[in-house]
Amino acid sequence: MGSNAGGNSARIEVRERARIWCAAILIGALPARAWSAGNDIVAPELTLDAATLPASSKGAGAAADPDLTNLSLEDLLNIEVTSVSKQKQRIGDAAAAVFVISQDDIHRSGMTTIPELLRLAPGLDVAQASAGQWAVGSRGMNAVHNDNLLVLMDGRTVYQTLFSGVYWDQVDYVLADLDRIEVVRGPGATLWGANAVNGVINIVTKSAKETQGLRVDSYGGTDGNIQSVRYGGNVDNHVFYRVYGKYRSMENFPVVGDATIFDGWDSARGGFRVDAELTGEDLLTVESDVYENRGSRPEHVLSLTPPFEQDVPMISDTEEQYILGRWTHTFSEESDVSVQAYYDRLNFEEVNNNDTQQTYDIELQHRFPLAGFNEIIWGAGYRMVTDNVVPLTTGINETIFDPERRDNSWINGFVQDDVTVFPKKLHVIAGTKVEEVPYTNLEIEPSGRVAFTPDDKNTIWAGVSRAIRSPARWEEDIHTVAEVSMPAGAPAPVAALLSGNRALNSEQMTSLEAGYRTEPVKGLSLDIAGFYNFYHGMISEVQTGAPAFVPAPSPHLQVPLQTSNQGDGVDYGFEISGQWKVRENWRLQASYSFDQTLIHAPDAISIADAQWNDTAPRHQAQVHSYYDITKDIEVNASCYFVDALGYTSPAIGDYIRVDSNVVWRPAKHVEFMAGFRNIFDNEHPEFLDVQRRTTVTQVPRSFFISMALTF
Amino acid sequence: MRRALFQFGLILLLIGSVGNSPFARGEDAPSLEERVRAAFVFNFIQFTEWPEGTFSKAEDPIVIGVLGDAQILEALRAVAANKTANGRAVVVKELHSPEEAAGCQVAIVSGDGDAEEKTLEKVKYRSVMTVGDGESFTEEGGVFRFYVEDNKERFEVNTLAAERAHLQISSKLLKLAKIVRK
Repeated sequence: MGSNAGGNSARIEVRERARIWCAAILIGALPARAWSAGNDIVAPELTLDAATLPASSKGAGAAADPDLTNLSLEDLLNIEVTSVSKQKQRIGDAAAAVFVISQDDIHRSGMTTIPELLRLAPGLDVAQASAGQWAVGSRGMNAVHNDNLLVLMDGRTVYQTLFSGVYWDQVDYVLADLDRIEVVRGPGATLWGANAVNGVINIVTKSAKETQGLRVDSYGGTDGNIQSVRYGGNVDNHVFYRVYGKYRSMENFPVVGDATIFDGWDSARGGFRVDAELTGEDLLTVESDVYENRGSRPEHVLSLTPPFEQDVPMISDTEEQYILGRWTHTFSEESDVSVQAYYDRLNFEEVNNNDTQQTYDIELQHRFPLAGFNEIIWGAGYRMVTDNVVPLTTGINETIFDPERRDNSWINGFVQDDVTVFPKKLHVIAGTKVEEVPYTNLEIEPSGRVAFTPDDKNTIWAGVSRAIRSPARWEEDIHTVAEVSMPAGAPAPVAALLSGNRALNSEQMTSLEAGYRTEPVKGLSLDIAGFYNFYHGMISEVQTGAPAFVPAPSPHLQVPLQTSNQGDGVDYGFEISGQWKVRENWRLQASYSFDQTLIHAPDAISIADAQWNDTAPRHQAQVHSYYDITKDIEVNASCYFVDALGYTSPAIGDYIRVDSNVVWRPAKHVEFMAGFRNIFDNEHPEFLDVQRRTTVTQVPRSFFISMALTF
Repeated sequence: MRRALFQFGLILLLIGSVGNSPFARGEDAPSLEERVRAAFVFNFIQFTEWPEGTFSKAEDPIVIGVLGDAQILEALRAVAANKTANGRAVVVKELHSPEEAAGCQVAIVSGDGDAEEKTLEKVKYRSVMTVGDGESFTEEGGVFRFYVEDNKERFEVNTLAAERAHLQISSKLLKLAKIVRK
């Protein structure tokens, strides 16, 4: 199996392929066809934007001249003012805990991966488990495969149903071409369906029209190096396209103690997006990405003789290709219809299995006003996933999915009505999704929300909703030895044989939420949201029979375990965040969040509760300062406090992380950034995937410089 | 942890002191959007005729009052010096209450809410060109409203409100505006 030597040659191979891809993509995709484009309205509910942005580098050519009175009226009408602050917030958004990470935030953070960027959202819990693995959670209960947070990129789900969760190293893009990341804390099942339990993350890329020209990014740091090239062009005034290629090579992280563990990884990706305005009202978007990630990561290898469990660097290899098309027809400002379809093929080889998944997805969404005081959105969708899991190992490490191949489909319909009770003052939003998910019964995911806006400076909202997390395929179909240990007093090693359960139900959650948003003085905005969630039937593992003595290959006791809906409990907490535009060129952002998870599974194996409780920090706080010293020099700084995690023993300690960077634009086409992360700390652990690893990976301090050229 | 917090405090102080240094002072300028709006306001004035008797003396200036928006106030002040419009000097002054708007030829009110409504109430039937950006500014009787479309500054004119205020707006300006009559 994996060794470091294997890991390195694999990485070199990826590098070569990356070069070929980048070249092929740039050449092959240039003669774009007469496709047509549009705004990506993935979820019309969600076009809230960050409250205030400093006047950064975004001005048009006229930006330098303070006196514009000499320009003609026609010229004035053509200046791009990029006024995010003046964009109105739709009341529908306001009735939930929503935060938007803007491109300006993305740029100023100096972060290089999408999961790291999510640290910017108040209340989200981002913990890096190794160089290429992250645990990202919202409102408690975090894990490397966190199963309660739904993640979409340009309308395509990146949440995988084999293990229920997101492999964050698979989610990447040219970060400068991201438009925004919308983060909804709390359930979003009425619109987004199963698995939008504790939150929804919507990663939205810019339209091809907004990314015209050549952009070259180069990043070098103690944590790795990243290069990317993007070119955006147009066929005519209505058809725009971009193509990109990106390559990254990330370094190994250190570990606690003397152990040597390899978890570095390489990634090569490329893709295109075409936006075509077929008519003034019809927009067509087609986008496609391909990538390969290869790296090594430490994972448990089991044996029936001491040391029983050992962390060995294993090669993981992922390849994915997808193509997505979306057509949107706009009837009016309040009414549009969109149809979206995509095909996605993913192959990944990891530890003991090789898995091939193919996803076919089609969705329809229609929004229209009714009788002057209703805004109705309804839609329907169908998704089929075929996946084929081939075991790569035999003996004690063998992991079998029974059946090897399974085709699953999801069918859903939803409707939501936003009723204006008193114009501009009181809205009631009610809706439900009805969904046929694999393995369980028909699921109903209703929600009701109310938003009261006494004036344009204050909004009070509350909501009650139901969400479900449908069982992962592994929870249904797996057969594997989960653990080998030698408990004190046992006559022989004990192997826990875990089997899936075909009688599982979905995990259920009912959430009560309320929040208040205010702008007490101009330039200062505050947002507070609280929640009390009830969970029922959380899936855990129970012992289903007496230990049996197995004499071969070496004598051991086998304890049968099975997945089961066992855990019940609550999770409560709140988040406070604020933005203060101190001056036109200085913005501060701060947040604090509290979370307490109390879930108990009475009949489950003794460690089961630790899969939920204390896996997310009880207290988190962060402060960001974004400062423009001059038009061409920015100084950005962030400080994060993350509380200890008590689910593992010894606990993962609390940590403070301080990042800062300086941006300098010496000329029109050139931008430099230099910065550091984690400056006051050599290294610290953030998360341990206890079921698959013993060695704790440390997140080290890093320094970097990067350059961007735009033409 | 305490040490790290202390050091973060130091960083913030450092940033703050750089920001307050004379070196950085000059950059604390109005945003592009506000400057564009200021230029539009000058154009509005140039393409508008106030009724006879608005000015008692030939040398009376045109007074632009700004309520509750320091940004556009700065932007207007920056361009108003040494400028004339319709043969008159232009004076920009900050208003502290809606009542003061009645003494101006142009009253600029930012945002929705009470100030906007009160100002429109105070200048009703007076020859004051009201300019705002609240969503319902023109619906409530304001004359000019700024809004942003495709990242570009646009404006809306309530021609009925202009007639009520006896303001004659040139057709050249109206051609470029979205017209409402409320």
